[in-house]
Amino acid sequence: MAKIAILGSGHGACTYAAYLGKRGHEVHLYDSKQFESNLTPIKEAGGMELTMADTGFGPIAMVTTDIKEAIEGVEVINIVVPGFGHRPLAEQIAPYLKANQIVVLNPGSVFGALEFLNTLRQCGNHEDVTICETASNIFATRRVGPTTVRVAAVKKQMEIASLPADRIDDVIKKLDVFFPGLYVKLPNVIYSSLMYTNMLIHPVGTVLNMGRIEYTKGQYDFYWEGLTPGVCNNIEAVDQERLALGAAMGFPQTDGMEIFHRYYGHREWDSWHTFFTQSLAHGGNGPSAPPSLQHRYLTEDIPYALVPMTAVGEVMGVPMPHMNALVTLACTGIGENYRETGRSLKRLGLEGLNKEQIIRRFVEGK
Amino acid sequence: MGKVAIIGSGHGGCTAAAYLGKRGHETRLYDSEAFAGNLTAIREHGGLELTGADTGFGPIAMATTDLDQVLDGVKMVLVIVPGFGHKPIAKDIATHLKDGQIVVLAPGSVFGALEFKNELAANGCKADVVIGETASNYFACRRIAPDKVRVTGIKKYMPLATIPASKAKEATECLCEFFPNTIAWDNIVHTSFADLNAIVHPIGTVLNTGWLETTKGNFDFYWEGISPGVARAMERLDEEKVAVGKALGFTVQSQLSLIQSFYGHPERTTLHEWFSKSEVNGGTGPSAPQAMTNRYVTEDVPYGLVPMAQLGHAIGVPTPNMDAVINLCSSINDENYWETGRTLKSLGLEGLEKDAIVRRLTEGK
Repeated sequence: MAKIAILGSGHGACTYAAYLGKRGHEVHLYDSKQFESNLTPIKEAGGMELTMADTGFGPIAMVTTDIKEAIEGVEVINIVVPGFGHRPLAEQIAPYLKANQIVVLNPGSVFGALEFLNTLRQCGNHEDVTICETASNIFATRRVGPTTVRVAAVKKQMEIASLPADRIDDVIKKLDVFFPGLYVKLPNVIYSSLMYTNMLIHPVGTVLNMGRIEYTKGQYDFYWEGLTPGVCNNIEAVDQERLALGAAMGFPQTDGMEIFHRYYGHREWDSWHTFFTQSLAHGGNGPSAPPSLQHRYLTEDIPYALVPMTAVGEVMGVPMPHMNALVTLACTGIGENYRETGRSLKRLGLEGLNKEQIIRRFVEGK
Repeated sequence: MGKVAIIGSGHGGCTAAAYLGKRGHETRLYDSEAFAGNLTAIREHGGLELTGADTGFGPIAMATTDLDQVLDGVKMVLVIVPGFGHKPIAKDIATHLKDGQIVVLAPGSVFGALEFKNELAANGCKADVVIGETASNYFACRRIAPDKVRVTGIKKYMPLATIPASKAKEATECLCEFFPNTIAWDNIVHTSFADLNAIVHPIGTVLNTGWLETTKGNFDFYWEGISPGVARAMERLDEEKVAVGKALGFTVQSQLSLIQSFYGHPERTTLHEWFSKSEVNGGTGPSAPQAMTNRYVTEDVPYGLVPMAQLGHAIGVPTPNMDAVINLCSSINDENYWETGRTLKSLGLEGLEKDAIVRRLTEGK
C-alpha cells in the first residue's frame, strides 16, 4: 500500500479518495480553503461511503487545506477537478512541488498538462517534474451526500500520457500500484487531450438545448432526450474537427464512437443518437440537464476544451467551424468572453510559436 | 375597389387574399400545380373565414393554377411565399407579365427583389415591370383550417422598397389602394435588413434543436423557447446585421426597434421581454416547428442569414454568430447552406466591390 495525494473535493476527487482508501492506500485529500466546507464532513467521518458500482467505506487518512502537508513525501499526486481548477492548483502547489514528483490530471480536459507545466514555470518552479493527463475520468460518479458517493461506472481501461512524453512507462509502473492493469499508455499529451470526449458532447448538447435548459431549469434527460438526431449531426461534425486537428499535428486520432464503444461497450449502438439515447451510463435516471447555463458543461468545456482546441487549430491551419460556432454561441448565451478568459494560447505558453515549436512543447515540455 | 393578384396559397397568401376580399377588392389567388390542393377548399367556399384580429368572411374571387387568368388586367401582383419560392415563381411568371405591372414580394426575405429581377431577366421577361419587396409580412397569421385563417397580428405600417429604388413612390401609391399603411423606404437594403424572421427564427430553432426534435415542437417557440440566453444570441445576430448595414453605408433598424414599431409595446425594452410576452407571436399553446426541416431553418438560414453573412465577409465585417447558426444548421439538415442558399454568387454580387454591390441593390445595375 502506498501514499497518494488527491487534490480536489468534488464528485471525482471524493470518489478517487474513497476508492483508494478502501483498498488500503494512505490517501491525503486536499482542497483550498475556498472549498473547506466540502472537506469538513469527510474529515469528521474519517472517509466516505461508496455505493452502487463499488461499495463499502473508504477511509481517508488525511483531509487538509494545507497543500504542503498533503504532498510532502508523496510521489503521486492526483488532481481531480474541472478544467478551471488546474491553473489555481498549479499556483498553489508551485512553491512545494519537488523534482521526481508526478502530477496526474484526471483528466486534463484539453491541454491541461501543458497549462499546468507552464503555470509552474511562470510561478518560478523549474523542478524536474512529470505532468500527466488521463483521457477521461476513471469513474462516472456523483457525490450524493456529505460522505457518500454513488459510482455509476468504473472504466476498464484508462489512457494516459506524460509530459515529457518519454516517461510514460515509468509513470505507469508507479500508478499501477493504485489501479492495477488499468492504464494504457499514449504517445504524448496531445493524444490524451484529444481523447477528452466531454468536448464532443457537453457543449453541443447544451447549446442546442439552450432554451429548454433555461426555461425548464434542466428538467429533462440531457442524453436520452437532448441528444436528438440533429444535435448528434453536430457531435459528428465536432468529432471530425477533432480528428482533423490530430492529423494536422501528425498524431492521427481514434474516432469518437470507437472511443465510446471501448469505454462502454454496446457496439451494436452504432450511431451517436442510438448510443446516447439508450446508454444507462449516461441517462435514464430522470432529469439530468444543467439547471442553467452556469454549469460545467459550458463553464468548463468551452474555456477548457473547445477554446484551446480552436486556438491551437487556428495556428495549425485547421478550419473548425463547428467548434467555433459552439464557442461563439455559448459565450453569447452565458455572457462571457471565453476566448480571452479561457485556456488560450497565452495561458498554454504557446503564443508566438510556430507549428513545430508548438508540437515540441507538447511532446518534450520545452 | 381594385383588382389584385396574390401568388402563394400558404398562411400569408390566404390571409392577405381574405383580408383584402373582405374589404371589397377583387382578389385572385394563384399557386402552381404542386400546391393546387390548397386552392380547392377556397374555391368551394368562395373565400376564407377570418378570425382573431380581423373577423368575418373574406371572399376570394378566383383561386386557380392558371397564371394568365390571375394576371389578366391586374396591375398589382403580390408574391407571398417563403424565400425559397421566389426563384421558381419568377421563372414561371417571367413570360406572363405585362408592361406596367408591379410585383411586390411581401416579404422578400433578404434581397428577394434582386433575385426576382435577375431571374425574370434570365427567363425571358421582356415586360417593363417594377419589382419591390416589403420589410415583412403585413400579418402574423396561420391558416388554421381549410376554410379559416387566424390573424394574430396586423402590422401598424409596412415599408416597401423597389429596384430601382426610384420606383418606390409609384409602387407605394399603387399598393396603398389595398394596404393604406404602406410607406416608401429608400431602397431594398433597408427592407431586406428588416427581415425579422432571419434574426429570430434560426436562432430560436437551433438553440432548441433537441427540444424541438424530441417533443416534435411541443413548446411555445416564443414564450418558452426565446429564453434569456437565446435572446442574447438574437441580439448578437442583430448587432452583426446592423454592422453589415453600416459598413455598406446604411443605418438599418434594430430588431427591437422594428418589432416595436410594427406591433407596439415600447415598454418592453429587451428582445427577451418583448418576445416572451408577445400575444402576436405566442401564448396559444405549442407552436414550435415540429422538425428542423421547417422554414424557420430551411428558409431563414439560406435566404436570410446566408446573404447577410456573405455580404459581411465580402466587405470585411465579421459575423461569427451568423456563421455559427449557419454552420450548425447546415450540419443538422445535411445541407451546406453557404452553397445552396441565396448566395452572393447566385445574386450576381460575388467578387464585386462595395460600391458596385450597393449600385446593384439600389439601382439594379
